[in-house]
Amino acid sequence: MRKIDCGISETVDQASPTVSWENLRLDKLWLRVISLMQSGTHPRPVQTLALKDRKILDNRKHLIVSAPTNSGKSLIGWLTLFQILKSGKRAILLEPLRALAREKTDEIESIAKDLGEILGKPIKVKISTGDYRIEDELMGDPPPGGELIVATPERLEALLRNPMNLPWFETIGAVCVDEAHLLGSQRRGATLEYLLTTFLTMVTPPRLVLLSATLGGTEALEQWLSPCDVIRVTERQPPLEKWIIALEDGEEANQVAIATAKDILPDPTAQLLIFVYQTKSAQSLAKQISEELGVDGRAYHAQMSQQQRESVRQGFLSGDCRVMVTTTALALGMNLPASHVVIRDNTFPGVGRLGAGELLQMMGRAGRGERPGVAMVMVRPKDGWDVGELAAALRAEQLPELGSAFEWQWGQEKVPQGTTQVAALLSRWQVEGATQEKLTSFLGHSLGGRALVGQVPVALRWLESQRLAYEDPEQGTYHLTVLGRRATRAVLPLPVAAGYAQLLRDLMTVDPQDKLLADWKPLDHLLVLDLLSERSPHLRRYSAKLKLQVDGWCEHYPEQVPLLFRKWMRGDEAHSRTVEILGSLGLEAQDAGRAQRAGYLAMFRVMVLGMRSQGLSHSSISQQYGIKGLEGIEERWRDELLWLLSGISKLLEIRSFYYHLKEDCQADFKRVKRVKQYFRQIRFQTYALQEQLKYCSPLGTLLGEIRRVAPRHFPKIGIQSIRRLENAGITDLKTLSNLNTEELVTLGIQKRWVQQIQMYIAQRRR
Amino acid sequence: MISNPAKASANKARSSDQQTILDSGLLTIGFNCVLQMPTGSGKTWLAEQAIENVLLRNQRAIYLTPLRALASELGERWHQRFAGRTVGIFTGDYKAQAMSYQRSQLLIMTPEKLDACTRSWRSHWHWLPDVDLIVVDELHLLGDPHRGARLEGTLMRLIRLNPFVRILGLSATLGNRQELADWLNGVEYGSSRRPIPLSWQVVRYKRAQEKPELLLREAQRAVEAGGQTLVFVQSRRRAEELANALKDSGLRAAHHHAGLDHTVRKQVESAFRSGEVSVLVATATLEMGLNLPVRQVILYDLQTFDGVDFVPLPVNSVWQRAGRAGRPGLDSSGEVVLIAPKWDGQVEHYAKGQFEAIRSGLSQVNGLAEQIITEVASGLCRTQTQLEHVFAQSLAAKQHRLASVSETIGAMLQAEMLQETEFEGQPRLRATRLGYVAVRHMLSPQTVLLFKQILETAFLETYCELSFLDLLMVAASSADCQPLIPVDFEALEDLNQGLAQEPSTLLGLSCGELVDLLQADGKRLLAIFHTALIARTWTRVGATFQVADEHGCYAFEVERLRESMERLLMAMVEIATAVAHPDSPEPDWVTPREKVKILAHMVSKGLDEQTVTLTLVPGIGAKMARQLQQANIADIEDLALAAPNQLTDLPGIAQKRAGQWVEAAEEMVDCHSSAYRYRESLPVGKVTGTRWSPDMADVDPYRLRRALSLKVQGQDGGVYRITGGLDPHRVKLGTGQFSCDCPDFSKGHLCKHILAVRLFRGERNLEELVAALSESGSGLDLFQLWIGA
Amino acid sequence: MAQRSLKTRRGELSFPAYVPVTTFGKKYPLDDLIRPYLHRLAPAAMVSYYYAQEMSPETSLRLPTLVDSGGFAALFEGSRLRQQKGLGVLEINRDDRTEQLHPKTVLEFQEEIADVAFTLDFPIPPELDTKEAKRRQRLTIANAHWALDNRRRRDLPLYACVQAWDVESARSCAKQYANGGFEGIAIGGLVPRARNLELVLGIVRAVREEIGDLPLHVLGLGHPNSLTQLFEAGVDSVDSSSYVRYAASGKLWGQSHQRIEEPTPTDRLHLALCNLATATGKTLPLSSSQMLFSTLRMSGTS
Repeated sequence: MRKIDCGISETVDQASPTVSWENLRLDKLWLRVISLMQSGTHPRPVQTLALKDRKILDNRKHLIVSAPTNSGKSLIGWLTLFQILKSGKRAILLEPLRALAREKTDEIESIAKDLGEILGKPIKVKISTGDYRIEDELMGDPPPGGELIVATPERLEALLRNPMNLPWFETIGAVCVDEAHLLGSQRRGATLEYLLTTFLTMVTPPRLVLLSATLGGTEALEQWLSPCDVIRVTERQPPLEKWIIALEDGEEANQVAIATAKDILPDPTAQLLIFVYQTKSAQSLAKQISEELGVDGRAYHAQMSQQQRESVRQGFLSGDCRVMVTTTALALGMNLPASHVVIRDNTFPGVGRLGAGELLQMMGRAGRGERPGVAMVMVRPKDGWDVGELAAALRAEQLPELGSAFEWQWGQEKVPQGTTQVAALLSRWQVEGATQEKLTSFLGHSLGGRALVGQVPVALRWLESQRLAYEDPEQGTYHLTVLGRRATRAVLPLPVAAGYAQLLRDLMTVDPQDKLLADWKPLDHLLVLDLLSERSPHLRRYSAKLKLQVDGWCEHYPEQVPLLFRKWMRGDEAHSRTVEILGSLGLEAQDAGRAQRAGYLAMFRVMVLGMRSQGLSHSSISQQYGIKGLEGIEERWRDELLWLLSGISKLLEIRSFYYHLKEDCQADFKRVKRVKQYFRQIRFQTYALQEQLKYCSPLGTLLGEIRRVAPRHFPKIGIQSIRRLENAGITDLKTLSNLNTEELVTLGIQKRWVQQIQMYIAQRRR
Repeated sequence: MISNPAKASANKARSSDQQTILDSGLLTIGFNCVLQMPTGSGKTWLAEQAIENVLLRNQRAIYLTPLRALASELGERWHQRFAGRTVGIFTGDYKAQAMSYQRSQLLIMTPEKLDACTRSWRSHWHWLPDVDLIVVDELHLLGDPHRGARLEGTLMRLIRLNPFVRILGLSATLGNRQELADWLNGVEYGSSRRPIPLSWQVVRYKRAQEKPELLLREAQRAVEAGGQTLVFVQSRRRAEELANALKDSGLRAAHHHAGLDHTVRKQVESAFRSGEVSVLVATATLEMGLNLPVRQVILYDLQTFDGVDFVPLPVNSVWQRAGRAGRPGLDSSGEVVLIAPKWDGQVEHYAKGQFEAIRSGLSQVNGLAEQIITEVASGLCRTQTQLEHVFAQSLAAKQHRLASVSETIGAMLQAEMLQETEFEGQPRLRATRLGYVAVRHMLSPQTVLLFKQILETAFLETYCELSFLDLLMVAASSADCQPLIPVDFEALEDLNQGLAQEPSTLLGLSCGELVDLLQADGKRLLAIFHTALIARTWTRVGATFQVADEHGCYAFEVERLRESMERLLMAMVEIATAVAHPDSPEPDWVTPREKVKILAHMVSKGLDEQTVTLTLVPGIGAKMARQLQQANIADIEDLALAAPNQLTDLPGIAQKRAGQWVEAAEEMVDCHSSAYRYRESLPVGKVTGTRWSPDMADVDPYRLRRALSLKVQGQDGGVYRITGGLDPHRVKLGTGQFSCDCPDFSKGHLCKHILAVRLFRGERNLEELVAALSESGSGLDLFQLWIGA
Repeated sequence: MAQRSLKTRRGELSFPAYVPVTTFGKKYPLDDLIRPYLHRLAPAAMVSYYYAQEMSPETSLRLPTLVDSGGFAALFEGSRLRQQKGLGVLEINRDDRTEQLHPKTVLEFQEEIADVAFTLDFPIPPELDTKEAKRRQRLTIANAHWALDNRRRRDLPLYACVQAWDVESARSCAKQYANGGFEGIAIGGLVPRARNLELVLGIVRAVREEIGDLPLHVLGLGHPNSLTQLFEAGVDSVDSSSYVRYAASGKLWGQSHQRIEEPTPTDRLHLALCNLATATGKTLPLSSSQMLFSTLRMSGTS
C-alpha cells in the first residue's frame, strides 16, 4: 500500500485570538445569549462573517450558511431562531433524523429557562417527529404547542396535509434547516423542498435559514430564496490532512485498516472513526480491532436499537471507546469528536462510487477543537475511483452542486414522481379542491419547478386510476376521494394505500357474501403490508425447509393463519395462486414460482412477527428458525409496521369503499351495513395488533388500554410490569382480574401500577 | 352557479309588460322603482331578474315579504334558482335555525326583522353596507295601520345608512303609485294588463240564507267546467262551516285560515295545487302572497271586521283576492263572483278597480313617536333639528299628513321616554331606559307607557297587588299584543264563568276605572279578557291544542300568543326594573317585578306558578319540571322534601343529579323561595251576569242585546236597512207586522233586526227592558260591554 | 399612451388615482361608517402605519391597501431620529413610553397587511437647517434601499420615499432611487409646502424627470384644487383625507359656502361619499344623490 498526500484544507486567516464576541458589535442581549450557550469561546470565522459583516441579526433576508462540519454553523441558526422568539412568533428547527432532533432538543431544553429570561419571554421547547417512541405522537396528530419546535421535515409536511393546521403555520416566524444539503438527496430531498416551497409561497414567508455542509455553486438556491444572504466558508477549522491509502492487489482492506489504527492509537488522545459500507462488516471489523489491538472498538449502525446506539455514543464521547466502526449511512449527523477518520469503502457494489463531496463530508468528521484532523480514504485497484483522479478531487475540494431532488431521474418507481406532493396539496386544499393550474403554479415555485410541473398531469392521472382522487368536471377541480384523503392524512405511502384498497375491493367484488371479510385475520394485515413494503428485512433464503416450517406453523396455529395465505398462497408452485394477490396489490407480475416463493418468505416474516407479538423472545425465535441478527433489525422493522398499521386502520372504514360497494357491487343497504360491521372488526384487529407489536406481548393491548385510561400527565405502567405478568403465566384479562392487590405486588409489580391496573379492571367491569 | 337569465326565463313566456320593463332597464338603472302590476302577472319573476343582476355583481340583495310562510317558500325556490349563492331566511321565526347575515348574499326577511337590524345598525355594519337592492313585496303594506309606520321608518333608515341601496317596490294595488315613486326619488311603472282578463259578475240574493246555495251553484259551475274555486269569507268559523257544507253536497272542499298551523296549511295548499281539493274556502290570509291561480274566485262576504265594526271591504283587498282568478294557458278569463244583497248598489264599483291611496302611518302620533325614539336610541339623531330633517323625507311629510315632530318629542320628554342633556353647550336628546326598552323590544311607546303607569301604581299602593291574570290583561291590552283573540257572543257565558274563578284585582274595579286603566272598551276589552284568560290557561295546561279547544280558538293562535306574551312580559320586567321602588320591600312580599318575571317564565314554559318554582333549580327545564310534576313532585318544596331515589326512578335522572337538585331545592326553600310564594290569595273578580226580569217572554234578552249593537239605516217605504251584523238585512213593516230576511226570523223567532227596528222606532217598553239590562250590579257585566251600553 | 397602472395582490391600481385616507380605532368614528363604501368609489385606500396597527380581519379593507411608514412621527414632540448601523431609526415618546420605529419593524408589518408599502422616510420641515435636512435625507435613502433589499414577500410593491427641501435636493434623492428596482417612487413632506404650489410642482417635475416611467405618488396632497395640476406634472397617484375632513364639518366640495346645520352621522357619511366621488370621478346612485341634495337644500346656509 502507499499513502498519497492530498493536501491540507486550512483556515487561511486563523481566527485571530484578538477577535472576541464583543468585537462583533452585537446588542448586549445577544452577547448574553452567546455566553449562556458557549461561554469562554471566541467567534469562529463563519460566525464573524455572519454576525459582523453580514449583520444577519439586523436584516431579515433568508440565509444560506454553507460551511464545513464543526465550524459553528449551528450557533448562527440558533440566534436567528431566538430573534424570532423574541418578536413573539414561533421558531422551528428542522432536523433530518429523529435522533438528531432529540439531541438538539435536549441541548436547548437545558438552557430554555435562562434563555427565556434573557429574551423576556418564557420559552417552551417541543420536539415533534411523529415518533411514538420519542414523544408518544403520531404523524396525524395536531401541531405541538410551544414556541421553539424541533421537528423532522416529514412531520411538518404531514401537518400541512390537514387544512385545520394551516393557521398554525401562519404563526411561524423562522425556520432553520439543519443539514440542508439533503435537499439534493433522493430519499429526503423531495419532502424538504416541498416544505420550503410552502413557506416561500405563504403570504408572509417566515425567515428561512439553511445550514449546509460546504456546497459548490449555490446560485440556483440563492435565486430560489431571494432575497437571500449566503454565508460561505470553505476553510476548515481546525485544519484537515487528507490522505489516500492506495491498496495493491491482494491487500485485504480490513488488515490495512487495522494497521492504520495501530499507527494512530498509541497517541492516548487519538480516536478513530472508520466508515464501511455494510452493517455486517462494521460488526466484524469492530470485533477484529478489539481482539487484535486490545482496545475498545465498537460498531455503530442503523440496525442497532436506540439504546444500543446511545451507549456506544456515550462510550466514544467519554473516550473509553477508541475506535468506532460505522456505516456510511450514518455519516450524516454524526457529531463525534474523532481525531482520525478512515473511509474503507469508496465504491458500493450495485450503487457505484461515492462523489468527492460525499467523501469530503465524511472526512470532515476528523478534527476536534484546535487539534487538526487526519482523514484517509482507502482505494482498491478495482474501485470506481482512480487514485490520481480522486487525489486531484480531494485536493481541489471539488464541492457538490446542490440541485433539486425532483431533478433526479430514477426509473423503477411504483408511483410517478411528484405524486405524493400533488396528493398532499389536494389534501391541504381539500375544501375548495384544486385545478391543474393551481397545482402547477404552486409546484412551479419549487426549486426543481420545471421538472415537477410536467409531472402534475401524470400524477393526477395515477391518483385517479387508483381511486385516490377524482375530478369535478363542473369546476374543473381535483379532489381526493375519501380513501385518498384518509391515506394522505395518515401519511401512508400511496402505493401501499392503493394496493391495500384494491385488494379489499377485489375481495368484495368476488364475494358478495363477504365471507372473506368475515374471516380476515389480524396477521393478514401484516402479510399485505409485508408484500407491499419495500423495506421488509431479509431473514432467510427461501428453501424447502422454510416452506416446511411455515406450513408446520400454520398447522399448529390454524386460527392465526392469514386468510390470504390459506386461500391463495399456500401450497407449492403448482397450487399457490400468490400471483393473483400480487396482481391485486398492483405489484409487478412475476412467474408463478417466484411469486410463490415470495409469498412464503413474506409469510415467514409475518409468522416471526406473530410470534414476537405473542411475547416470544428474539433469541428463542432466532434459534428455532435460524435467523441471524434478528434483535438488531427487529426494532426498526416493527416501527415501520406500526406506522403502516396505524395508517391502514384509518382506511378500513365503510366510507372509503362506499362508492365501490354501491356502484360496482350494486350492494343493497343490507350488505353495506354488513360490510360496515366487518370493517369495524377488522379495524379493531389492527388496534390490538399495534399494541401487541408495540409491547411484544399478548397483553400489549391491555397495557395500551391501561395506559390510555390512566390519568394524564402521570407516570404510566410500563412494559416491565407486563413482562412480570407474562412470566407469571398471565396472558389475558380474565386471569389478571382474578388477582388481588397482594398477589399482584408479590409478582413484583409496584403498588401504583397495581392501582392503575385495578382502576382499569374496575372500569371494564362497568 | 347562477343559471343565465335567458335559460331561466325560457320555461316561461314573458308577458309584454315584463319585456318592456326588462328593455327599459328599469330594474338595473340606478333609480328606485315602484312596480304596480296585477296579481299573477309575474312581479316575482321580475324581482328575480333584478336580484340576479345584483348577485352577479357579487353584491347583496334583500327581499322583504310580510308573510313568514311565503318567505320559506321563496327560500326553497331561490335556493335552486341561485344555486351557489347563499340564500338566508330571516323571519324571526324562533324555530328556524340561526343563519349568518354576513354569509347570505340574498336575504329574505320580514319587515320586522329588517327593522330590528336597522335599529341596531352598528352590530350589523359588517353586512348592511353591501346591500345593493331591496325588493319590497306588497308595498301597500306601507298603509297598514299596524306595520306601515314601522316599514316606512325602516326603509328610511336603510337608505340613509346605505346610500347605495336601491328600492324596488312591488304591489298589485296602489292608489298613489306616482306619489310613492316621487317619495323615493324613483321611477314607476304601472300596468293593469293581466295575462288573463277578469270577468266580474255580481250574484244577488234576497235573503242571507240563500247565500250558501248561491255559493254552491257558482262553485259547482266552475268545477264542472274543470276549474277550481277560491272562496273568500270574513271569519274562520264561517270558512269551516261553508267548507263542510260544500263537502256535504259532494264537492271536494277544504278551508284555510291563519288559525291552522303551518304544516296543516301547507297540506291544504298542496292538496289544492294538486287538484285533490277543488274548492278552497279561505279567510284574508290567502289575500297576499301565495301563488294559487284558479279559474274562479268567489267573494262570499263583502264586509270585514275592522276591529270595531263590520265595514265594506276596501277595493285593494277585493282586488288582492280577485287577482287569483284565471289560470295561465287554461282559462280565457278569470271569473270573479261577488255575492251581494239585491239592494246593495255599491258593489258595482269594485270592478272598476279604483284603488285606495296608501297613507303613511307616520300621520299617527304613536307611529311617529316610536320612530323618533328609535332614531334617537340608535344614535342616528341627537337634536330636534335633525329629527325634523329626517322626517321631512317621510312619505307622511310628502302627503302633508306628518304628525308634529316637535309636539311628539315634547310628549316623549313628558313621558320620560326621552330626556334632554347638554353636550358642548348644545341641547341633545337621549333615550331613557324606558325609551331603550321600547326600541329594543320593538314596542310602541304607548305600550311602554301603559305598562309603566300600571306598574307604578302597583308600586305606590302596595296594597293593590296584581294577579297573574291582571298582568296578562295588561299585556293583552297593549297595541303590540298579537293576536288579540276576540270572543263571540255565544262564548260570553263561558268567558264570564272563566273570569269568575280567577283571582284578580282589576276585575274588582268598576267598569269605568278599568276602561280608563286599560284604555279599551267594549268588544276590544272583552277580547282582552278572552286573550288574557287563554294565556292563563296555557300556563296551567301547557299544551296548545288543549288550550285551543277549551277556548274555541286555534292552537296556532295560542302558539303565537305565547311568543307575543313572552316578549311583552320580558319588556314589562325591564320596565318594572326601571320604575322600581328605591326602598326594597321585605323579602316575603313579591315585588311586581319578580311577579312579572316569574309569569314570563310561566308563559314561555307553559307551567303554572307552582310547578314553575321547580325550574328555579339549576338544571331543571320545563320538560323535566313537567316530568317531576307527574311524579307528584309539583313544586320546589316537594322537591326539597323528596328523597333522591324518588327521582332516580324517573327516566334520565342520575343519582348524582337528583342529589344536587334536592340540595339546591332545600337551600332555596330556606331563603324564601317557597312554592306558596307565587300562590295567589287574592279575591276573585266581581264579574256578574245580568238578572233578567221574566215579564217579556217573547223578547229574548240575548237578541235584544245584540239588537242594540245593530245600526238602522233609516227607512224607505217601510223597509229598514240594518247593518252592523255579519250580513246586512232588511226589515219590512207591513200591516203592523214586522218581517225580516234573516234566517233567524224565518225560523219563527223574533229576530234581533226587528228588535233593532222597534228600538229605532222608540218603543217605550223595550227601552225599559234595555234600562233593566243596563242597571247591572257593581262590577263588570260582559253583556254590557258587548252591547257597548 | 397606454393606461398606466400598478399590479397589487388585490388587483390592478390604475392611474391617475386619488387614494382616500382612512383610519382605524376610536379616534375618527366617521371613518368606520365610510370604510365599507370605499371600494365602491376608490381604487385603493391609504392607511397610516400608526392606525393600521388597529386593523383587524373584520375591519380590513376590500381594496388595495397602501400603508405608509409612519415616519411623519419624526415631527412629533420628543421623538428622536437616531442612526443605527447606517439605518435611520425613530424613537417616539407616545404617552410616556418610547417605541422604536425601525425599518425592519415597519417592513415586517407592511408585509403582513399592506398591498403597497412605503419605505420609512423622515419629513424635512421647511425651517429645518441644511445639516439636519441632509442627514434626514441620507437616512431616508438608506432605509429605502435596505427595505428593498430585505423584502421577503414577493408580491408587495415597494415605493421609495423622496424627502427634500428644494427642487435640486429632490432631484438628487430621486436619482439614487431611479434604477434601484423599486416598483414606485413617492414624494413626502410636501404638506407644509402645499401653499407654495410652484415649488411643489417643481419638485414633482424634477423627480419625474429622474425616475422615467416609474409610478409616482405624492403623500398627503389631495386637495381638489391642486389635483389636476399635480397629475399634469406627472403624478400618478395622491392620497388625502380632505374628503372626510370636509364632511365632518358638514361641507361639500365645490359648495364650501354651504354647510348642513347639525349634520347627523348619516349626513356626514353622505357628504364624505359625495366628496370622494367627486375626487375619484365616480358617480353615486342617482336616487341617493338626489336624497343627499334634498338634505342640502333643506339645510340653512351659513
